[in-house]
Amino acid sequence: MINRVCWALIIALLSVPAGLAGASETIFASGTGIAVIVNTDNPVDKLSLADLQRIVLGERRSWSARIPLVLMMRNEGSRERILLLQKACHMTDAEYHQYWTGKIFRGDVTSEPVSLPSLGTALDFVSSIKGGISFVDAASVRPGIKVMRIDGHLPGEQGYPLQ
Amino acid sequence: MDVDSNGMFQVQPERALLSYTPNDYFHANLGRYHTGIGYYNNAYHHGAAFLQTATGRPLLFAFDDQGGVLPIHKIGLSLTGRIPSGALGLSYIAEVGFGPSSHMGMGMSGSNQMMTVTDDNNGRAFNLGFIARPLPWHPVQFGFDFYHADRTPMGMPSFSENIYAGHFLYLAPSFEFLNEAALIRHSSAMMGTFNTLGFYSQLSRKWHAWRPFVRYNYLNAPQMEPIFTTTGRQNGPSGGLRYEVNESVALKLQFDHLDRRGLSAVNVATCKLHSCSRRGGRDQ
Repeated sequence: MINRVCWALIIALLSVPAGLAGASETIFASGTGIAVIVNTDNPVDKLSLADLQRIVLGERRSWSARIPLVLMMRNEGSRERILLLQKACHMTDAEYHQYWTGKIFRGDVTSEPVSLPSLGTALDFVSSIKGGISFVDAASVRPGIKVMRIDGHLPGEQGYPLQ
Repeated sequence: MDVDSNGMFQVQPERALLSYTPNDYFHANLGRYHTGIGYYNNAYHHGAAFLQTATGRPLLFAFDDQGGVLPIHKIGLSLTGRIPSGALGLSYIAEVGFGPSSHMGMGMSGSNQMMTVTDDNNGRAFNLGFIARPLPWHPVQFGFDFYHADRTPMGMPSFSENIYAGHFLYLAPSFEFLNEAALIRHSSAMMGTFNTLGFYSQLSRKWHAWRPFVRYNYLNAPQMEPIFTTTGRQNGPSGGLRYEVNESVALKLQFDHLDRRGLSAVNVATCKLHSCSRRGGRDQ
């Protein structure tokens, strides 16, 4: 009897369409997308979407053996943050928050990444910190900031994953 | 904080580490840590019950002061880091620490025999593991560990303890499929070899705030196993439902059925409210 109940539960867990599970995605009007910005002195020019995911999830914490990576997310509820978490991590804001709670409990990190409240602070932060990385609307990028290629594409190009 | 058999409160630090993390390729931790055997032991520490899908740990990863068979804690040096391996996503774990102390007395309780600062002998315990998170197969993770220690229980010959552990996981926010197995081999020239096998498999899926789950536990120590004298064979399914009241509170209902060798089966229904804040966790 118990085994039958368990098998029924397993089949139910595997058979329900994926679209019914998890949180629904927020749909944004398509535009040039979200630019991944770093300091111009950063030796890295391109990332894969999987690399970006590792950075956002705190699994990659250095650009090279000598340059630590400093991740600055955008504030909760911002378009940049929601789109980045959806496209790179397939997570909602709440799931991301819970993920970092787990990392803090495990002792992997001491705190969740700091969130920057505005476009200006994100640009200022990246231009002043060599290992910094943040995310802004691609239309707002100014000179003196390097925009990363993601999966070989820049914002606005066909195939760019963060738009 | 624990309560001992006399009803007295004891403060017992579960982890205390001095860390040095210069880059992704080299993380050093010195102190008392959770051993890197498998996935579950390091993913869900004490006080992090909220983060677990189920109400408790799998039998295989039961805490060593609650009848567990694996060395959950060690005092020593733990090194972890990435291995430059491109899309393979390899990382390593190398740990060396005090081996288990099977001697009683000298202020040690039997339940704490695996996590003392004394050792049965001069040999240190070590653990070496590799984990792969291949980019094309994201979010799949698999890994393998080898642990070795020498044990000399009082009044018994010396045993070599080798643990071979492997895991395969699919870990997405809305879907979880955890599989871990370990073979614990105690070998002695005088008494022979004893193999204890354990595994668990857990499947869960999230629908908004609801997450039904099912888990199967298996742990089988030979009848004449000289160190795991009371473990025996225990196996059976668990099923339950987790409801996240909010980001920090989860209500869990779980039913466990456990068959035991030579003993009657056990059925347990559990309801737990787990809360979590960045300052610590709480069970009710």
